[in-house]
Amino acid sequence: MPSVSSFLIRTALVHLVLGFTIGAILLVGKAVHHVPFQYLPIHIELLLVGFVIQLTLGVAFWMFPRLTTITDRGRTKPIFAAYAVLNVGILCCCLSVFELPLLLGFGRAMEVVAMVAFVLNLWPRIYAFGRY
Amino acid sequence: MPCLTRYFIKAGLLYFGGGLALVFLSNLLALDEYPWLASATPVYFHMIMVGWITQIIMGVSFWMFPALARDNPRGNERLGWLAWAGINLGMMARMVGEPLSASGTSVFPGLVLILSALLQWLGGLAYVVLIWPRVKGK
Ligand code: HEM
Repeated sequence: MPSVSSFLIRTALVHLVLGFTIGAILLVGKAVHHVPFQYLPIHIELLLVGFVIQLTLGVAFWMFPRLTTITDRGRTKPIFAAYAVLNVGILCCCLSVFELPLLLGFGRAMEVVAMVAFVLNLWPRIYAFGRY
Repeated sequence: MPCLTRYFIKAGLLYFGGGLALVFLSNLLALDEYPWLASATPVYFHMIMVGWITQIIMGVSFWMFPALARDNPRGNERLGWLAWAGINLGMMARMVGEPLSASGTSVFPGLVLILSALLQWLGGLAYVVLIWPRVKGK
């Protein structure tokens, strides 16, 4: 597994633990009829973007067909940059629940930039068997 | 495919089917006539995201991720079974606890929800401890 994929996947696993922890707190809240709903957006952000999407991107970069030679997965620097931008975006979206609404817009913009970078870099690696 | 992976995927398929059936039911029936269905949105959402997507991720990664060592390729499988039991028992407890808790104020449904939270959290943690050492860059 390339090291950028291991960064993406391990970070996704950290988000899984944090997201499940907040989910468990919310569920215990439901049990005692006192749910801290203000933290629900953090739960959703960590698990949907931080865990599911980030893990998928890490596995995609590792597993998609290689370019020209059997070792060539394309440039890793833009993927490392997109990884950093994505996680700053996630962090900003999470912090925005503490009455910092501007961070939500900034965080979402960072996430979009990161996703565009991922798509542009993964696009050439999606081709039919034997077609390259 | 390892036995544990088959259990994750087959349980996942059941949650996927069950979750879709619940989505279908709650769109079909009038929610004010069936109050337990009104509490179903978070239940079917999590049946699909935890019961289906997360379990598929857990099962396939246990099968496909790089081997840990030649003599112990997949790590401590017991942790994997703990994850499977935690997620599945926890989801089942949630499927029972949410509608009960929405339709009454007795203590029992609350205890079921607390049990569900604990089981799912433990399941998630066991999976991460199991898979972490297998996520290694070259
Ligand atoms: C991949 C895993 C998960 C994802 C993507 C996820 C996502 C979400 C989303 C989108 C919502 C809002 C749904 C709504 O308003 O109906 C939500 C609510 C919630 N989640 Fe999760 N979740 C995940 C796992 C968990 C786990 C493991 C737990 C508990 C241990 C949990 C507990 C809760 C609770 C208590 C709520 C509030 C439900 C309500 O509105 O009454 N979640 N989650």
